[in-house]
Amino acid sequence: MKPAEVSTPSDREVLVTRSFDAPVNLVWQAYTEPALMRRWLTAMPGWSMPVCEMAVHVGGKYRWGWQSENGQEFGFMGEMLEVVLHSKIVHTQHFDPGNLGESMGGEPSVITVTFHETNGITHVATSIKYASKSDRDAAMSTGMTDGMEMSYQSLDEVLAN
Amino acid sequence: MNQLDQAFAALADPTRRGILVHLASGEASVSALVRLFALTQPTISSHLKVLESSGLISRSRVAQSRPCKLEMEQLKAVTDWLENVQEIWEGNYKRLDALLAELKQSQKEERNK
Repeated sequence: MKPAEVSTPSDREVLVTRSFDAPVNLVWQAYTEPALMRRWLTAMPGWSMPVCEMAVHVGGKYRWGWQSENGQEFGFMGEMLEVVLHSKIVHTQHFDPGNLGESMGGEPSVITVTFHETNGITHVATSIKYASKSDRDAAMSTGMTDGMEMSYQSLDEVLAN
Repeated sequence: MNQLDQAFAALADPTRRGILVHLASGEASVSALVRLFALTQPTISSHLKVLESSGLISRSRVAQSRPCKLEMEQLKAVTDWLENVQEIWEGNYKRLDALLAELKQSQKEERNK
């Protein structure tokens, strides 16, 4: 499958799209069942996801927590705003800085994940809508200081639509 | 809006992204961009205004044609972040690929029982 594509449809929104070689019912399972989520949603090498609680219905709460080999912790939590089986999940997302000592602002982001299957391939689009510009800036600076290795990618790749 | 906000808003438009990709290969005048994109001069000019105030391009004050030039530093601030986001997600998605292959396989075995 082609690597994930990231774009910025507006100044407060980030859109990530990716296709998977599997029918939508399996992709949905992998996105909603904690035992499966823990196996792929580990964020970065050296991290695990010891906390993963999901109540997949409107008004249901979720909590995700990550831990690194050297004891760093952070997480996300929120509430399900919309759940359409095999099609759409909308939820709020609060950042729990754990012991990283960073803040991502007060207001939650709104995450919308849509699933669409054609010929056994499932297309997943994830939209992250930050509550305000300062929340987005905070999220950006957090990403910048993660210590992730960043290599420079060609312009065309990043800008190609 | 601060400049980073403006850069995000500027990048949200396909014509503006097209202009940036074109400027990556060198400076260009407004009239060259008008021809290239087959848009009216006022349309191109308004896109350039957005790009200029976001810091993504600058326009020369020397030559009369005021050629547009890509401002790499500002663009890099935005693309670095996007790339970082991409790396984190793609890392997750590769593990998801493997998990889905496994789920497909066990579903198949289940059916063949």
